[in-house]
Amino acid sequence: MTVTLHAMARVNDVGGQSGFGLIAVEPDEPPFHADWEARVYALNVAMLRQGVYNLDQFRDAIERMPPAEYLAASYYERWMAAVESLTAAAAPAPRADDD
Amino acid sequence: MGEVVEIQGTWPLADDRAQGFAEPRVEPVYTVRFPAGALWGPPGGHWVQVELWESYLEVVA
Amino acid sequence: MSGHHSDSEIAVRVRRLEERLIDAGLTSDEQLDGIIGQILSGSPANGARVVARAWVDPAFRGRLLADANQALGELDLSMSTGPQTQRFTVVENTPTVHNVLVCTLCSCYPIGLLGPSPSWYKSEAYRARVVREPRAVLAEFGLELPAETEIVVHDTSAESRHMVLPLRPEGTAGLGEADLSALVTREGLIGTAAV
Repeated sequence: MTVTLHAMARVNDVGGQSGFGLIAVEPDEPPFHADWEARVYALNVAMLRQGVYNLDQFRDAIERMPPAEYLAASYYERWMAAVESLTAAAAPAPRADDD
Repeated sequence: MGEVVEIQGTWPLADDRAQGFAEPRVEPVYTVRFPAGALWGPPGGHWVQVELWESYLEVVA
Repeated sequence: MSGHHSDSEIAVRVRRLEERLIDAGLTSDEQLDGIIGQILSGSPANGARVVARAWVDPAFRGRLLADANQALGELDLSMSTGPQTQRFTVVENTPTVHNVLVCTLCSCYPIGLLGPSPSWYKSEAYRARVVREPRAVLAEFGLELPAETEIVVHDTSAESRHMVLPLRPEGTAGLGEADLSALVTREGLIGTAAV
């Protein structure tokens, strides 16, 4: 069967875009670069297992980040932003003086 | 244009799940192989294989 | 690291998020530690074991290519330790076909089996370029393929995860499974290197 594809693009849809340079490879890269990255990873898995949201909602939360914010954020910063926004209803932030 | 190389069974549509629908549409997922030239123009010379839900696709032949 | 926020600033924000979710009863410190332990136990060594078995056991190779989720069970491995259970597909390199993996939209990767993915795999540069100019990208990784080798780039989607079954290197006929698996690298399982 021969098929054709409907177009769709968001900021994350970089496949085939030009203008990117060499791919930076970090030798002996650790699994996480900081403890907080591992915690964000674990928080996301915990929320998925708990059913607070599903994996597609998580991906969507990242993909609909404003392009400037998306491009400025590191990989796990995007995860943090997504977990924060997706859990805002289930676990509201306490009203603190500095918030 | 691409060729369907495999049908992966049916899966809930990611776009519906992304919106948290309790009953997302369930659609066949196809593994589709595109010649690179059809996606990016010349020179091509390799294949790009993607899994796509049915509603992303339009049958040409 | 982007360097747009200081690491300590973010660490504080993550700690606050974590406290909020624990207070809401959605997770616990023990659960989070367990999840981190689980991901750190995933490593390319698991994928390497699968490859070595497929190299020495043609019947297993057949089952692996037909239904990888099922075949993993024979080695006490599973795709269920990541965020959610996924369909797992193994794609086989041959003398004429080379496979390479990418997730152009995000960073889909068989974390449950191979452990966390390297940063380059998640980079915009790799995601943008490998689907368009795989030969040039592979050459940057040090893999020069013959002009007649057919390249298939697999763009992974949310529902399934892939792994490459590399070609068994020549001159390894005498090696057993353990020695063979020691030859297999993470890059070999992604397809940016030969073994």
